[in-house]
This record gives sequence, C-alpha cells and structure tokens, in this order.
Amino acid sequence: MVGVRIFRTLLAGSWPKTASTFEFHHKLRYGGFLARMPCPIAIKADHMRLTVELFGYMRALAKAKQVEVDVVAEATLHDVLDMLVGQYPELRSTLSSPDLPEWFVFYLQDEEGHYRASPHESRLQENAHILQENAHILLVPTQAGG
Amino acid sequence: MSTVSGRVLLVDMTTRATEVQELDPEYFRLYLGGVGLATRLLYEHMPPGADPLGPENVLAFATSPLAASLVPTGSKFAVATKSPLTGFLGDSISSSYWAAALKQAGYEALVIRGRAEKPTYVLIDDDHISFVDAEHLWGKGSYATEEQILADLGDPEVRVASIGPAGEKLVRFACITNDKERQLGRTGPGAVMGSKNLKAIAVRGTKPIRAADLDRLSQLALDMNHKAQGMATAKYRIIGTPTNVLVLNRLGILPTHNFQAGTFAAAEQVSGEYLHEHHWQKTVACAGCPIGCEQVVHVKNGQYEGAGVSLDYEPLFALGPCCGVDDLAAIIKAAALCDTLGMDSISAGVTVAWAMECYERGLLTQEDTDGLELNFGNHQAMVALIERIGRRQGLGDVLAEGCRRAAAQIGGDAERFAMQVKGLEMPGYDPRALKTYALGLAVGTRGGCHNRSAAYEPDIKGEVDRFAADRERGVLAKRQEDFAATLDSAMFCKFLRGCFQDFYAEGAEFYEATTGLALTAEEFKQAGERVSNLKKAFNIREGWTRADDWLPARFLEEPLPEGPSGGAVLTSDELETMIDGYYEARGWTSEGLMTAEKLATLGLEDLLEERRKAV
Repeated sequence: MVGVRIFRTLLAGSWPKTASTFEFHHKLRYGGFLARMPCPIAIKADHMRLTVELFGYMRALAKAKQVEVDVVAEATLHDVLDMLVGQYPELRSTLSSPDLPEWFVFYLQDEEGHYRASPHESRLQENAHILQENAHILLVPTQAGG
Repeated sequence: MSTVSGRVLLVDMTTRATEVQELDPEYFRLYLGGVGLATRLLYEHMPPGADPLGPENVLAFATSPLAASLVPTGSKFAVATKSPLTGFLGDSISSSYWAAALKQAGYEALVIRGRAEKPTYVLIDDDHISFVDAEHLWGKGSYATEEQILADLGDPEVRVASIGPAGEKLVRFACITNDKERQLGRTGPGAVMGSKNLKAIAVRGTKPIRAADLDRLSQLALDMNHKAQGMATAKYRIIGTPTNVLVLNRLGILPTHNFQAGTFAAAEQVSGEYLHEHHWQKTVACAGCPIGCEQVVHVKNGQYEGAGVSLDYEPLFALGPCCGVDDLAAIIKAAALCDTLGMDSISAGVTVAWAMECYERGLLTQEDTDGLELNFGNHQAMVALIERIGRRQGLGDVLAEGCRRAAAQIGGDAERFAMQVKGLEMPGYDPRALKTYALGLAVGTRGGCHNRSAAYEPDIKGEVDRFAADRERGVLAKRQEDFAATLDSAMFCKFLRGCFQDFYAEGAEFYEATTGLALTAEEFKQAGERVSNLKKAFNIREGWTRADDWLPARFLEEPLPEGPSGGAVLTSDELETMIDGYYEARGWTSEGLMTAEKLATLGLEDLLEERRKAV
C-alpha cells in the first residue's frame, strides 16, 4: 500500500525529495532515456539550481531530457558545462571540445519569456553572462537544415 | 592541366537527336559545376518565356566537378529547369551513384529538351545513347521503375534517375528519384520530365576519372573524412535532421497547423529522438559520403505496418505538425507514399495543411473532399489525400497544382492561407521569429526554400537577435546565399560545412587538386556570388519584379500566438527595410535589378548583351 501511495504521489507531480524517489520519478517521466540521475538533494547556501534541456544525440548520450545542476552563485554557462560533464561523463568528449561554440548554442529565457541565443558564452568566460537562480537553459545543436 | 572534360550531352526528345558540346574550360572557373553550371546551361538553351511544361523547356543536369573523385560527399549533381510551380528558376540537388555514373560516362552535364511521342527512357551507355520504349514502365513508382530497368538491362551497375506516377500526371511538385531513394525534390523537375514523356535516364559509365593531383587530393580527402566523422556532423549521423523537431518546438518556431502556431503539443511523439528509439531501422550514406545522414525508419505494426522510408526533418514537419498529425507511423506512411509516387513531400504536406485549414474554415466541404473529414490531425485523411494528389484524383487534382494555384481556384480567403513564396511551399521554420531567414525566403530565387539562402543560420546561432530586423540583415542574407551557391556549385554537401575552418580556401584547394583549375579563395567565393546573380538574371528574364520578393500575409499580420516566440510578428516595414538592405548589399537597384557595372564585375556581360538584343 505504501508503494502504491508513493507511486500516486509521484504521478501527481509532488514527491519526497530523497535520492531514490527522485530517481524513480525521473524514470517514470523519461522512460527509455533514463540511465541514472545523480542530482544532489540539497543546495548549498552559496549555490543555485539551474535546469538544462538536452536535445538530439546529447539527450541520447546522457539518457536524459532535462538535467538539474547545482552551481555556485554567479555561475556562468562555462560552469554549467563543467557540472554537466561531472554528472554525465558520456558528454565529456562533446562538451569539453575547444570548438564547442561552433556546434552548440545556449538559449536563455528573457523577461518576455522568449528564448534568446547566447552563442559565445562558454568561450568568453570572463565577460560571460551571470546566470540567475532557476535559469532554464536550452543546449541546442546548431547544425540546422534538412 | 584540367581534368574536366567539358563535355555536355545534348538530347532532343522530339527528334531523338543527340550531340556533344565541348564547353570552354572557363565555364568551370566561372560557375564551378552543379547548380551554377546547370543554371548557365538552362539560361543558354531555354528560350525566354518558355512554357515550363512545354517542349521548349529544358532540363539541364550538371554533375559536381568533384563527382566520382575522392572528395567526401562530392558525388552530387544538380538539375535546373523552369519550374512549373513558380515559373522561375527551379534548381534541385541530389546525390549518389547517378552523379558518378554520368561523370564516368564522360559528361559534365546533360541537357534535355523536346517531347517524345510516347513514354521513353534514355539510356546513356558511355558514348552510346539510345531511346528505349518505356510503355511498360509508365504508371510504376520510382523504385519499381529502377528495378525493372536494371532487370531489363541485366546490369545492376546501371544507375537510374526516374519519375513516378506524379511526374507522369504533371503534379507540379513532382520530383526525380535516383538510386532508389535520393531525390531532386523541390520545384517540380519531375513534372517537366513527365511533360517530355521521359520516364527515366539510365546511365552506365565505365571511364576512369583522373585527379589532377592525386597525392594532394588523397591527403585532403583523408583529413576531411576524419573531420566528417567527428563532432561537426554528430547531429546528422546519430539521430539526423529530425532532431530539429524538439529544438524548433522549444524555440517556438515549429510550423504547426499550417503555420498558425509555432509549438506543437505532441512534439515529443513526433520527435527525432522518439523516431530513433521506436522506428529506426538503419543509417545509410550516399556514394562517397563519410557522414551517413539518412535515417531509414519503418513501421513495425498497426494500420501502417510495413511502411518504410528515409525520413528527414522537412517531410516530418510538413506531414506531421504542419498537418497537426501526431502519429509517426502515419507520417512515415505518407512520406513513403510521396517517395513512391515521386513528389516533393514538403510541398505535398504544406498543400494538404492548407486544404485542412480551408476545410476547417468552411472554404472546402466534405463534398469537395469526396467524403474526407479533412480536419487537422486526421492522419487517415492525410494519407488518402496524398495518394489522390499523386494520381490527380478528385480534390487531389486541384492540390496537385500546388497551394498557390489551388487557392486561386478555390477563391475567397483561401489565398491567405497558402503558405508559399513565389509558388513554392514553405519549409519548416517560422520566419516571424527568425528574421534574417524571413528575408532570405522573400528574396530567394527559388521561392520558399531554406537551403538556397541558408539565412536561418545567423538567427539560430545567435549571430543576431532573431526577433529583430534591420537593414544590415541584407548583408547577412547575401553572405549566406553566396555561401550556399558556392557549396551547391562545387557541390560539397551542406552537412559538411561545419568541417571547414576556412571554407573558401579549403574548397578551392579541393577544387584545384581534383580538376587542376587553380582558383584563389576569393575567386572561389566570387563564383558563388556570380551564380546568385545568374539565378536572379534568369528570373528577371522570366518576368520577375520586386513584388515577387514577399511573404504570405500571415507572417505580416498574425503574431505567433504562444510559446517561446509568442507575440513575434514580421511587419511590412521590417520586411521592406531588409529587402532594401539586401538589394543594396547585392549592388542592385532599389527595384532589385542588376546594373551593367555589376554584371561586368562578375564577368556576366553577355547577359547584358542578350537583354539589349531582346529590347
């Protein structure tokens, strides 16, 4: 019965934040794409949580559609990449490439709710955009066409 | 010493006469090959004002100068004709063994005119050209046609380009299929072939192809092969262009319900990721291609069980979200039908989407549709209608004219919902939130085409603000268009473009090592600009005016209703400003016409002479 209750709670979208149930929830939502979801449960005081959406083969490699990462406050996109690689070593060869900006664009939501591209953020770390708490990032492969 | 033969095979279907013309090697410096050379040959061989479906129209095929060499992705060819859909230049590109075969038969290009008395196919067997009765092939699909010709000739090494029933029935967006599953897809060259009673062109080429500098070419090709299997092409190799579905949906620019919206609620169900996981069968590469982008998918069960096709993003968008269809099996079935019947699945899908909107708005009734409930999302109706279009049955006969002409027949507000530019149905990106792309679409010589302008790149990659428009976009649109023209004329696959550090320098190096024709990077780049101008010159000759460079009213009057691009719209003023900037960047007049100085700069003075003679 307890198991059924947890299951219903998870389906309703609210769930107790323990590592095992988070992983269970993630499996429910993302089915075949999930391998594991090593997401930290608590956020340190000087950290913030951001969401990154993955597409195409990045999603296939990571076996996740959406990833939550904890990064230091005032983090840049470069920091987010480091965290992603830490959580998903399968993405290392992709995200650690020096030519990354040629193949990916980061999109961030503006005040109007529009997603706008920030193509050079990871390369220009010194002048990079400082991310806000709860920022939602789209990591988009740019090879368009077809 | 150039290794380019310069030989062009001229074929007259009416008289069955053939002739070989030797082109000045200078042509291959000026136009490179492919689209550039094909357009030039069309310009020279088609009389001005020809009826696109009449015997005077010309099909000019031109191979890549790099075909059948070691150059990765180089086995490509182009066709140029006067499009029965737009009335302007119809240029299309395809890949694989047919291109290599024509080159190995000893020809850089093939020009076909006239009209055979009865269904015929042309067999090019090196230097021997024959006209073969094709009555037994008439009515067959492209795949079956190719199989039959190979069986008849008893030689599996013969390469075939053919039309299906749609081309025979003069569906204005009929395509030409080669090597069973590659298409010269857009602008209706299959209808032109059908109008000539030409069912197929079969080629057996056995001559050796020589590289001007084999050692250098081998090293260049080896390096490029390595790059082409790396990160820059990962998207194409692993899931393919259907990756675009979720990306564009997330950006709010996935054309949905005939471009009424930019997000599709069921995008996940029709995504490339879902397709790969549930329907993927195998990945296929064209001849000489190290990338392998063709994702062949099939339906394992259900009402469309057994359907299979190589599915790219564009057919997926057109037959999926654009028609409101959320069933991948139905999309695969419809795309497979388009291939079998031999028609452009983008135009087919967008035209069906237009009919669906007309039906929902009461402009078409069930009486018009022969009983089909043509609501968005009704995939059975979509599949049925695709079949009827390909065979010109019932409402399909009207839709076979393309959405612009069909709208003119229906009348009322129908024209307002016809999502086309210059008569060519729109590709799968919403221009309201990609404004450089909007400009590229409006001014493109081909009409509603993303490939010839490639102007979405500055928007998508964030080089500029995709929601904003200004005069400077003209410079970007020109840059992208000329880049595409160079790629399409030298004939590197566009999917290879991310592998070059300096495309013009490296491309010229490949070109010289293969052909022996030394071009500087600047000359190679200028060839693209020259080809862009040549295309425009053809359109001007066929009656183009500035009014033709425009977009459907929907983009100018109806903001995107919701999502991450919600509220975005393109105003008429923005579009006018960008067009002015584009003409200026091109060095044209404010009416978009070419000056004598500009033509002279590009070495196109003879076009001016011809214009004077015409006056």
